[in-house]
Amino acid sequence: MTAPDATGRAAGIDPRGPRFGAALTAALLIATILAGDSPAGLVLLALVVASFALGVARGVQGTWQGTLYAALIRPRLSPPTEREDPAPPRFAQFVGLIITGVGLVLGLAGVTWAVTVFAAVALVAAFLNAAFGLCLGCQLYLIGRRLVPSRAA
Amino acid sequence: MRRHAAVGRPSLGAVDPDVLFRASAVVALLGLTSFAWWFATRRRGELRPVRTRRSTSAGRREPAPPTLDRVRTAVAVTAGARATVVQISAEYCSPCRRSAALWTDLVATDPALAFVEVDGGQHLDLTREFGVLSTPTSLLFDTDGTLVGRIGGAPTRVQATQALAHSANTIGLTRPNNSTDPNNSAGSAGTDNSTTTDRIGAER
Repeated sequence: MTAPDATGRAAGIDPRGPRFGAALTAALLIATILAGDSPAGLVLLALVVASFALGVARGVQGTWQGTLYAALIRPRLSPPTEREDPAPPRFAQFVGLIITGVGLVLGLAGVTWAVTVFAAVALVAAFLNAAFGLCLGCQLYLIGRRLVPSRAA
Repeated sequence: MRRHAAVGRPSLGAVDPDVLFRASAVVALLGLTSFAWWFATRRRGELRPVRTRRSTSAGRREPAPPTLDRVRTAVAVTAGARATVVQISAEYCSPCRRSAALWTDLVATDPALAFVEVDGGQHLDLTREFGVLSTPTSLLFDTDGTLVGRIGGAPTRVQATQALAHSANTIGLTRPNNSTDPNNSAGSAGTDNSTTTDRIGAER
C-alpha cells in the first residue's frame, strides 16, 4: 500500500504564518520592481534572496517573517483550526530562492531587465500564496516531475 | 504620488514616469494573477463527471479513460461496493492532507465506500494516464471500476458528499442492487447502501 506515504505526518505549523510571510515578501518584491534598474533594486532583491535562503535552511517559521508573525500577529489571532506540514512551504522557499537567486545573479552580471522580470515572477507566486493560500511551487513540482522523465524516455 | 506631482507641476514631471509605468505594471500583473486564480479554481472541489462512452465505443479515436484496474496495477486497492475514491497527491501539497483526511472520514462512515491515496510523484505513469496536472485530484470510480468523474482540489464536505451521491445515482440506474458484489461482505453492503443513500438524499 502506498496510501501512508503522503499522509500521517506529524502535526505541523500554523498555515497562516507562511501566508503572512508571503505578504511581506510580496511587498519587498513590489519595492524591488519599483526601484527598477537602480542599485536599490539589487539590494532589495538580495534581501529577498537572503530571506528565502533562511527559509530553506530553517523552514518558514525560522525566517524573519516567521519571527514577526509569532511575535506580533499570532498573539492577536485565535488558535489555528488546522495545522500544516512544514515541508510544502519550505519547498516553496526553495523555489523562491531559485527564481530570485537567478534574477540577482543576472542583475549583478549586468543584465538590467532580469531584476524586474524575476522579481515579477516571484511576486506572482508570493501574491498567490498570501492572497489565496496557493503554493505555486508545490503545484509545479508534480508537473515538473511529469515532464522530466518523459523527455528522458 | 500622482497628486503630489500634479500639485508641484502641471505635468507629471515630479514623478519618474518609469516608476509610474512600473507601478501600473505591478497593479496589472496582480489583477491578471487574481483573474487567473479565479478562472483556474472556479470549479475547485466540484465533481466533473466523465462522459460515459460505454455504448458509443465504435469509431471514436479518443480512448476510454483508464479504469480502477489500471490503478490496481500500481497500488493495492480494496474496491468499495458502491464507490472508490482514488486521490492523487504530491509530496509538497498541503490541501492534499486536508482532502485525504476528509475522504478517510467519509469512507469510515460507510463500508460500501473505499478510499486510497496515491503519491503522484511515485506513480508518474498514473498521473499521465489520468491526466493529473494539479494535486489533489480525486478520481471517483463506480462499482464496475469505471471512472465516473474527477474532483480537482480539496472538496468541501458538502461537495465530497454530493460527489459520492452522484456516484450512487449513476449506479442506481445501471445496477439497482449491488449487494452481490463478490469483493465485499454481501449482506452488510446491501443494507449499508440503502441507509447511506437515504442519508445523502436527506442532506441534498
